[in-house]
Amino acid sequence: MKLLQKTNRTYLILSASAFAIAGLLTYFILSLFIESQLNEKLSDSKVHLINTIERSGIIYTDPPYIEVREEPVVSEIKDFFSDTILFDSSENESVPFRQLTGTSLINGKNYKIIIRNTLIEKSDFLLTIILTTGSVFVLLLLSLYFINKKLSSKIWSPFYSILDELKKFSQENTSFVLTTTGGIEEFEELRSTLNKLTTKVISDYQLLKRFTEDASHEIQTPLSIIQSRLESLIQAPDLTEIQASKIHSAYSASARLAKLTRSMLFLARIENRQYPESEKINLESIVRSQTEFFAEAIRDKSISVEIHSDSECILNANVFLAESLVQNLFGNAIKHSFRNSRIIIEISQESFVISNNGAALLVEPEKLFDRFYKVNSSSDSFGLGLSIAREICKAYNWNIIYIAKETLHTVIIKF
Amino acid sequence: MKILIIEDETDLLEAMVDYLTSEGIICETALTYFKAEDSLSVYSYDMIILDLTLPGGNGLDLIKLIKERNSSAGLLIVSARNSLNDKLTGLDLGADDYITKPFHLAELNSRIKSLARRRFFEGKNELTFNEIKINPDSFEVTVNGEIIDLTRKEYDILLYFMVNRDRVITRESIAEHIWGDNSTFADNFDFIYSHIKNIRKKIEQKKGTNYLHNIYGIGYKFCEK
Repeated sequence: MKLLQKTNRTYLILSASAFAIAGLLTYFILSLFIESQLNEKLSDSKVHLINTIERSGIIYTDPPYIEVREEPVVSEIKDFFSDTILFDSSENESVPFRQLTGTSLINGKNYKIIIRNTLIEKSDFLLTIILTTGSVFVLLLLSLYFINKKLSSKIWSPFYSILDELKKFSQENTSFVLTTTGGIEEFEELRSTLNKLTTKVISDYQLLKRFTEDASHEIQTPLSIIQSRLESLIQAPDLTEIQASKIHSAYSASARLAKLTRSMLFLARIENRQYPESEKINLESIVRSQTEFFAEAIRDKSISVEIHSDSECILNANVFLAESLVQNLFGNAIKHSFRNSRIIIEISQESFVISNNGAALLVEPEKLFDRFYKVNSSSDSFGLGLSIAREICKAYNWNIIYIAKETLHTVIIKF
Repeated sequence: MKILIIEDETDLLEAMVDYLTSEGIICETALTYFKAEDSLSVYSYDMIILDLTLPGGNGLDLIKLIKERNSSAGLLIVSARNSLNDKLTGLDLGADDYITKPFHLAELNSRIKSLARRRFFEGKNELTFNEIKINPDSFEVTVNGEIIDLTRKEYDILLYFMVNRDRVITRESIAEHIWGDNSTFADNFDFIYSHIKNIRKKIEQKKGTNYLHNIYGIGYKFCEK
């Protein structure tokens, strides 16, 4: 729920109940007030009537408003007020009255006096109150709504622009700073806190990237020593087979480690954008030269490679990275292809598509791009190949997707 | 051939010297920038192997000095940095080749030999081992005078063996030599096996001897017996 919606809803609920209570209170207070006013008026009328009768001697009646009857009862009734409903023939409907009933001794005779005054009908009365409070309520709501709308678009504008700026945040953008100012203290605070946070995130990220690179560097020299020492050990002429195989297993492990640090370093380099030199590259010629590079592997598995090129694809990129990318995807396709299957490569100005037939994928294709992700955990590979491919694509803002449909695997790069 | 190896890691330096000395190369060493400066100003070398990360100075500066004092020497750069910038700057300044740590000693040897061939024999540099001859300029291989038809990778492997003869060459080293560092196939040794099988077959077809010996399943050795 949006902030404005939420405040409006709260206003609506609160003011609706407040107005309902106010309406009821008005009704009861007004009723009481009118009643006491009427009572007073009726008492006055009675006094006036008695005076008139005393003075003129004429018994004045005006039904249903004034009724005077001679009553033989001597006992004096105290004036009392009551509500009654009488039929008004002129209006042809029942009309509510307030009436005063009392007795009075005038010129020695006892009279019963009833004085009435019309009451406003309760329903009319209620309706009037509902209508008035209702219209005030609607007016108030409308004005609140518009004021809120106006205010929130104005007051909250720095908030929304901070939000817009934040959406563009990326750890790669080292110069990221929120610039919105609106003169509202809370938002200023929000902005400076967020700026501190993003600066921290960016610097941590940079540090981490540096760390990978530095660590890989540092590992390389000791690895060279291990590797070259083991290599010379292998050369010893009087080595037994058992010794040789033990040395070799250590050697293989160090070679694997060397390959791993190299891949990690390569990945870190691409991330750190350390391949800035770029030139115009013909993608098809890279693909063709890679076909030659993999010739034996292709022949070995009896794979047929089809290259379709609709239009010439000229890319502006680093040659080394472009070659690595193609080699990576092509090599993967060959490695995971069935024997006697086909690899189809389609090249156009907008995209590069490579598809092959291999064992069906059991996981989400997107996972394959994760670092160190291996479908088969016993596999010798590090699971960095596709991460490298994606990182290269990222460096040039190309979009890489992997689609697996049963045994058909397709990698699409959109330039 | 006399070479100067400028490298600050004693252990690595020793391993390199051991390997190259047994290849008949005279090795001199320098552990620091200053020692290298000294040696370079006094002696002359056929080739210089330079590690770019040196205590006491930047290896790239040494390249200038080498070009002044020893301009005829071949220059091979070794670096842990593997940075393209370093590589390009190094090659721009006049280095002949570039190798990244960690490397196989056989690979280093192969690079040195290839560099030596290019620099000193001016193209007339056939490699001969009994009946097998390789001409690296025309990529031609002959056995008993008859040309055999090798694929590019088979050729590369045979040349690698010819340069590193009498040594156990591990499968890892061969794989990296032909597939490169970052290849998906660098850990796939089936191809190497089939390449070697093909090379043997092609040599034997021309009545050549099989000099490629399998060593305990860890690699191969190219030798008389």
